[in-house]
Amino acid sequence: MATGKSSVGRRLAIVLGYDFLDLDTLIAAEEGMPISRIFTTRGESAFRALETRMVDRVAGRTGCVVATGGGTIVNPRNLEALKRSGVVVALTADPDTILARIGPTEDRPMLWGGDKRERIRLLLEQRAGSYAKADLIVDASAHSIDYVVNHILDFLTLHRVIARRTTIHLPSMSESFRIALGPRSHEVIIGPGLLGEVGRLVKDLGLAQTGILLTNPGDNRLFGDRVIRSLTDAGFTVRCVEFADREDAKGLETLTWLYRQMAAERLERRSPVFALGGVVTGEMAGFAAATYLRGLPLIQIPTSHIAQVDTSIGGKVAVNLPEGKNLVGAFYQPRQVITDVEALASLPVRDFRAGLAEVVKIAAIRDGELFEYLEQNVEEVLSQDLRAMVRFVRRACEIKASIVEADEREGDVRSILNFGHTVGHALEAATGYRGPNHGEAVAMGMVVAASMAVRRKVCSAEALARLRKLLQAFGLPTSLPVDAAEVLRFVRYDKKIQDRQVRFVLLKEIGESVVASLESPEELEEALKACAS
Amino acid sequence: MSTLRVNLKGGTYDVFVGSDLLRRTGEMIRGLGLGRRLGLVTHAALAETYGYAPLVVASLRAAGHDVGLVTVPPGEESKSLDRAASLCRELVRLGLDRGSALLALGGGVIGDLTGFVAATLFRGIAFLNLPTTLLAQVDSSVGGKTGVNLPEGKNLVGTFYQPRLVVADVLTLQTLPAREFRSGLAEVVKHAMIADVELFRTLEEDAERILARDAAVLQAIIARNCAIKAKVVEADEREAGVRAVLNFGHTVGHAVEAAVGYGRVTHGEAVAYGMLAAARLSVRRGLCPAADAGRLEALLRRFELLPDAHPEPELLETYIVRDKKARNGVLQFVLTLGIGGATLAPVSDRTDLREALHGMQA
Repeated sequence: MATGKSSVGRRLAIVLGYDFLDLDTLIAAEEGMPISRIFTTRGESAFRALETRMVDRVAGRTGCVVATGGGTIVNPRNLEALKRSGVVVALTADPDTILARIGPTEDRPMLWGGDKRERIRLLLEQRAGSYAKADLIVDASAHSIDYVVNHILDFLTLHRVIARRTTIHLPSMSESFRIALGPRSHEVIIGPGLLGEVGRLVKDLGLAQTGILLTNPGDNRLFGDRVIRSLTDAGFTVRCVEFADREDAKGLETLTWLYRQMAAERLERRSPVFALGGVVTGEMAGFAAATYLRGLPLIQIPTSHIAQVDTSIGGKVAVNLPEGKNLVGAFYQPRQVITDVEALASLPVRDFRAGLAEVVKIAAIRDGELFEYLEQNVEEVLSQDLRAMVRFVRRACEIKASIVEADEREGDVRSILNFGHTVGHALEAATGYRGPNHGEAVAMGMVVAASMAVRRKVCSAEALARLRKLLQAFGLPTSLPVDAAEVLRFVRYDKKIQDRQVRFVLLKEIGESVVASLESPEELEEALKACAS
Repeated sequence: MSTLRVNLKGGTYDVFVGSDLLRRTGEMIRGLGLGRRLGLVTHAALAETYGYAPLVVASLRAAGHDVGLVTVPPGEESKSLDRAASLCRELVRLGLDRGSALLALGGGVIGDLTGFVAATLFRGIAFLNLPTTLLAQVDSSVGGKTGVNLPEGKNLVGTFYQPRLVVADVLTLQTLPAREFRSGLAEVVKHAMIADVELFRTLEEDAERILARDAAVLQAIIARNCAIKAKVVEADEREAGVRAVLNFGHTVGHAVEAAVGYGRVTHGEAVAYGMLAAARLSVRRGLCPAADAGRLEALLRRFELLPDAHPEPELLETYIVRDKKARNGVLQFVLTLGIGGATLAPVSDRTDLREALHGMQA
């Protein structure tokens, strides 16, 4: 319970070269709802039954690190199954540390009712006997993740579970590639632990020493200190400026305020702008950087899933007008993109899955191999195994980059990235932006577009089935929550209307797609009806 | 009509300079493949008093375009974020989309503001510039700088964004107030000073006809100026080095504007003062023949660009140092190597500068 099982487990796995599996995440994905909902709708005992089933499944595997729930090994049967196939490590912490780490969340059903601190103390007391039966107990209260990982590695070496003592060196586990855009070429660096390496990574870019970090309260609380510290260590003086990352605050008022913060810092031509956050932060900070002093060097540090696999690549930056989304913007390439995949582990599960929709999209339109990788590694992907994340984030970025390279400004090639978006946008609008989130809407949009392609006989029914199955495995919706007429009404307002024709991206097969025009509203209506729930 | 082709990484475009071109706007944009719907930004005087905007609108409509006309108040205050925002909103409401183009009809303020809006609305739509002041025709219409001001400083927000076409109609200069016309001449002299002895001689010889706004002479001079500016910008599109010579006279010029107060002197008068100071500094340094500084002074007087009253040298120095400190800490000046040549040089010893500024009092 908030002792760092997942963070420690992930790093331990990547150091050992093992897969990482997260029990709760797998259960939630399989049941299609968060753990807290399983508790409220079916009760704790139903959850415990699902948990035991999952324990049996993962206990049958080798070469993996498993993070369990805090209560998993209270059931002796679970403890035995896990001990039979591996080493059981119990991470503990004192109630205050745990309370500080979980923050004001309501996502932990075991803490419902009464004073949280008291609930934590009681649970720890109840579980102490079970934890004592673990092979190793580590108190994680006062220690860093890496300290705990090292401690476990020492234990494993001592007991000859592993042959040789491996060490943690996260930067060497990162990967990078270059986006070739002539003078706007730049590097994308992807890996675990990079938030603490930002200063070192940007050192040779010829930046001025004084810069600005633009972020939002949430990301600042989680990551701000780490980034600022690494920049300070590398000799930079960077002021941190927070602004709300809500879509409704992504307007000219916030922008004007940002400019004035930049003016107050007396930034000059080479002063770097660091954009730390999700899509809205990146777009807004990116636009401010693009237009202050006719363009300052921009470093994108995406922390949300969609920002990492999609919007940080390609240079699209923008703000909203009351008349519509992203109406004022630019194409402005960053000088570097620094993508720390560990940041994704802090996301709410639903947001993480929404990001997976974009990964599936990119694989479906362009890379059959990535699609297969996702199909074969559903559990690792859902558990946020670091190697799996580096792999699919990198691949998704590379594909997006290759599309952008071919077509930097929005032309026909780039528009295949809109697969699922025509209907997706309409779905978001039709539900007043309070229904499915962007990723979920895109997931449904892709299914609609693919079934349209099947009707046109350009795509096989099998490809559609694979798409549907993978999306479902990732806990994404594949049938529509509103009726066809409602969606249709909003498709007509989609801004990608050229010469009054709605353009659609049609799947040809997994890994290949084409752009086509909608022949008639009826064609879309039929596809929508076929995807009704 | 003179045509000049500008080749930049950000785009290739033509600059047309000639008489009575506005009524031919529609035919001149024909080859550009623009969408049907266009926005035209101008200010009220140009639309109503002089009737330029109706000429343009009629010509565009005759060529089959829908034109939405938007007017903004004249003056530097219009170069603001608020104005840019309301302009964007108005253009969206007029039905412009990413296939539309935006035209600026006016001076530097209209051009900078409209260029910025064109660069950012729908992430960039086609921009066409129809400059109507001498300063805008010889200077701000070539180079792609767009921008608006913040309370903290001028042009702090902006982009580099190249137009698809520039049409400089010299007839519009006929209605320009005399002082504003002369102000534009300072930039003409500047271009001659940094790059073109021939042009400088022409200015000396044809001063009378220039001041009388003879259309043929103006056309030739403006075309020549655009060519000089284009050449410098082509060599240095994003202002990394060479382009700095275009700031000849501007370091002291900005200080004069700040010391005397914006609006009390024209930009041209301030730059004229700055050029002469820089030329005298260059003479002290042995870079420029004294005779050339003398010719510069004579020409500036001829164009009535040198003020009678002088700002305090100490005050100017304070502003110069403050301005430069804010940027990069090192005092750098564009110095003249004699008429037709310029170089960027560090000024570490301030005695020369101080004496050059004091020399202006004489």
